[in-house]
Amino acid sequence: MNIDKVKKLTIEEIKRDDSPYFCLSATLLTLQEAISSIKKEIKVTREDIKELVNLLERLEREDATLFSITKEKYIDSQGYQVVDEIIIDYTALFEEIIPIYQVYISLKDHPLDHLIKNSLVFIYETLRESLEGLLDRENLPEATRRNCNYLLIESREVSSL
Amino acid sequence: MIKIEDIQRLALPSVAMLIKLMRRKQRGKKRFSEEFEADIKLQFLEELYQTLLSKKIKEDLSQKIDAAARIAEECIDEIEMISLKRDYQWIKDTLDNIRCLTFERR
Repeated sequence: MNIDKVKKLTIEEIKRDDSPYFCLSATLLTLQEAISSIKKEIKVTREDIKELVNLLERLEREDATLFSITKEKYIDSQGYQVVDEIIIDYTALFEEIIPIYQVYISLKDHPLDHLIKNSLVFIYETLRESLEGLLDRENLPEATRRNCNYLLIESREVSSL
Repeated sequence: MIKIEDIQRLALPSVAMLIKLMRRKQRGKKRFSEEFEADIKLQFLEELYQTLLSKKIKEDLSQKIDAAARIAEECIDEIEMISLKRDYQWIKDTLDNIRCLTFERR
């Protein structure tokens, strides 16, 4: 997992016409706000929440990089290395957020249930399309293929939440 | 209990993205149809965005958030690209969910 702490993406950066951030970054930012709203109610450690928030902040920026690399006709080995890091971060996101969501919906009161689930399903469906595009590439390195397939399996769980 | 500040922060990304996507279409080759009145809708969304950014909101936001969700829904019919339709659908669903939160606060 890429452990670098990044500068939080601002709402103005997302909104700016010439910025590379689109709907997936907005979804990740919404999830981050949702996690901030529910963190006091769910019984998970402060470290778990902190790690998840760091991951979301990183992915909000990384998604623009993934989009820009995957739309290129040819991706070199350095490009695939970056793709791998982002795919590993997305895999960690699903591994961390699904248990937190399950704890949250087991509470008596869980008003953000639909908002969180809807956002996770949107991320899953959008990512699946990008990953399937990657898997169709002829020069795809074996490690990237493995990472893509693993992310597809890990993220599929959101459709049964 | 969801606070009004939470509702503001939750709504901002989807409203910002709705404005961005609509502006891009309006500046592109295939603009919104004239009947859609994109400029009027964009002006309303900009005002809502500024309201969401302001620190002390006293007004009930449910009607405005509902109107923004309806704009996102109308955009779906104006778009041909499946992935963009999905983006607008996420915005519409998110704003619908947030509008429900404003009712729960009453």
